[in-house]
Amino acid sequence: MRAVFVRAYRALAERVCAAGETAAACDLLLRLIDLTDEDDAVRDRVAELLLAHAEAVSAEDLPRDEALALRARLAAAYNRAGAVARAEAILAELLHEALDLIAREPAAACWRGLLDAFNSFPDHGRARALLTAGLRRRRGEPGGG
Amino acid sequence: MLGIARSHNGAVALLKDGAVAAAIQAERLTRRKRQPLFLRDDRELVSGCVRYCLEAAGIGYSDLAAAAICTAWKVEPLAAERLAALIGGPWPGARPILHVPHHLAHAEYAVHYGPPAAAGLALVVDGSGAWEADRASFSIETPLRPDALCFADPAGKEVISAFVFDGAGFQVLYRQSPAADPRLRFDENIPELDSIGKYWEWASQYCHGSRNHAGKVMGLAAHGDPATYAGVGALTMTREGRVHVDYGKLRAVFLEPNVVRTDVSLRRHYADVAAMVQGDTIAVLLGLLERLQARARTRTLYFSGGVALNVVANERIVRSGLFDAVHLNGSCEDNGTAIGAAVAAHHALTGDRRPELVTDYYGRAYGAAEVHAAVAESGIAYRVLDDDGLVREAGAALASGRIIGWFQGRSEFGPRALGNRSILANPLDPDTKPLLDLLMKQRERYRPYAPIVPEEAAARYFDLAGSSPVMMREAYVRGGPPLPAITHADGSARVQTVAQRDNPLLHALMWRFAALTGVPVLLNTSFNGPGEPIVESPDDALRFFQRGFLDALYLGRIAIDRL
Repeated sequence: MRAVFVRAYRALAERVCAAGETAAACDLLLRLIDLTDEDDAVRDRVAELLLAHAEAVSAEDLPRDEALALRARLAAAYNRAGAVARAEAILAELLHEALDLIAREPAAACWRGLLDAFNSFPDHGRARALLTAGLRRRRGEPGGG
Repeated sequence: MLGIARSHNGAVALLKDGAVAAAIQAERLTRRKRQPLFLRDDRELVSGCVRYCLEAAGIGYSDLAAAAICTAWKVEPLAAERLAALIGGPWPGARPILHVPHHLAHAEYAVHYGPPAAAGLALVVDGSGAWEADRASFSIETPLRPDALCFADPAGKEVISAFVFDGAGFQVLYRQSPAADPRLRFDENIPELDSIGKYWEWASQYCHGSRNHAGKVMGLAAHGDPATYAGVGALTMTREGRVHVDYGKLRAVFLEPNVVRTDVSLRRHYADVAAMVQGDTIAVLLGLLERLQARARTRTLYFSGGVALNVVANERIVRSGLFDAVHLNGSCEDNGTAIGAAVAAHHALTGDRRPELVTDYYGRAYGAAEVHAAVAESGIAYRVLDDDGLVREAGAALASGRIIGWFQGRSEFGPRALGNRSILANPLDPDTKPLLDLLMKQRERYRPYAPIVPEEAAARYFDLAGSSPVMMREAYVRGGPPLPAITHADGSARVQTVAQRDNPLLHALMWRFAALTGVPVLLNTSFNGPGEPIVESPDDALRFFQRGFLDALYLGRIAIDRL
């Protein structure tokens, strides 16, 4: 069942990408990444597609949960492409808002995006520092940036 | 006595003079969660598990007197030479090999941890156990009591058994072994069986897209309203006492299976489904126990089988007033049948029983030299502390919000880390849970973390009568300092109490933490990453540490700071 979903989403996402419907493509790609988290090779291929489109999508084009998820996935894609500083900058920028949203709503896409982003860091100590700072900032504590 | 659980959760145990000397789950050695032992082409793994136990117990192959095998699959009789090949050592033809029925092994495991010769009722509830068709293949017979309730289909499998234990032997008081229509499956691998364990597998499949997440369903249930689907009546007990799961109703009512395994945090529908399953389970278990208790006329209960991992149901049973004593131990899943089978065989061959205190520290302890060698090999800088220094430093680290790896003494045998292979953290710190959720454990937000507390202080912080040494009970967190990292959505917690005699170092650590924070409670979660078995060896712990999540690692008396 799951494999059928993955194949269907993948085919659809690639067609939408090819048609240049960027926001819709990103939406589909996010769902596809969720489906393929357990398969690194497929996920990385989808992340590449996402990377090619995500920067072009305006946050207003997507619901809040998905917009944050998209940026978190983008950070993960940058990390996997070796652009760690870029990934850190994206995450640092979105973290406060993302933590706020997941405290209030299901925000399942955003949560999964954060999981992916934090675990894509080659140095997990760096991810730890970033998250700690984000949590402190959300509480308005010193050291939270 | 060698015990082997030939199972999807394979394990090997060793009894020395009737007492458990060592036990290991195969997953701890292969580092693959739910590692089966088939006793077919897995000679290297079987022999690895046996060697592990022999080394931990300090004995050799020649000391083995008999072997006991337990399985929930079809029994496959083993000749001596085949067993010798599997275990990697000699097995003379005259040395006995016994096959023990699955539910009897669970029951034997449970009563092994009761007071000496304490008669009682032993209830076993799981997904499924031995095939009825295999009864003739078993080496140990368990007679049916004349007043037994028996719902055993010749083509069926055990799903619920109750035994009356008289302090020496067992009689069957209840047996339900339904047959499943092979055409009816709620997943390609899961038959629609009248089984409480399968009902949980259904819920796990429905809510999480995998049959293996019954624990997640239990965590999710606290967020749901059991009243929403109370009228479905999917799990019921007939007037005669037979448990029934109505899969037709489940198919008709529940139309949104989480096939894509999305995160179901705060999704009301799935939480309500989980709450229904939890509520149904408690109601049916209590109804069944009321009936069995009236027949057995005992105030002592032993409870085992995978369903006994349900701490919420356990607590309701403890508080039901049906029994004065409820005995639970941590390896009530199939791994515990390795011990249970060995205990059964030991009793069958010698007539002897050597009950033990509840514990699950049955793995190997790694000596200082071994730990030093592993750390030196890793090239990581470290410091050596004495006991006092270790407790002072780790206590201060925890009080300041650091998250530490704690690797001490013998590893745990069952599914729960009980403070020897644990990640410990500060339960007062609101950052602790998100840090664990998002980084180390990568898990859903609705799942709780468990607290550990010194046994003598438990009642001050939790509504808990008695002890919970293997984390098998649930208790409500009392008012007092908020403990956000370990308090579940409904105010409950899966508590482990630690007695000074059982784990003096951990006990001292908790009191050191209390001296700095005022609260002797710590968060304790298993020392592993997502989807991984708990770490077993110093190498496993160092590999985890090198990923960079932990702030510090205390490996025996060695302290390692964040890289």
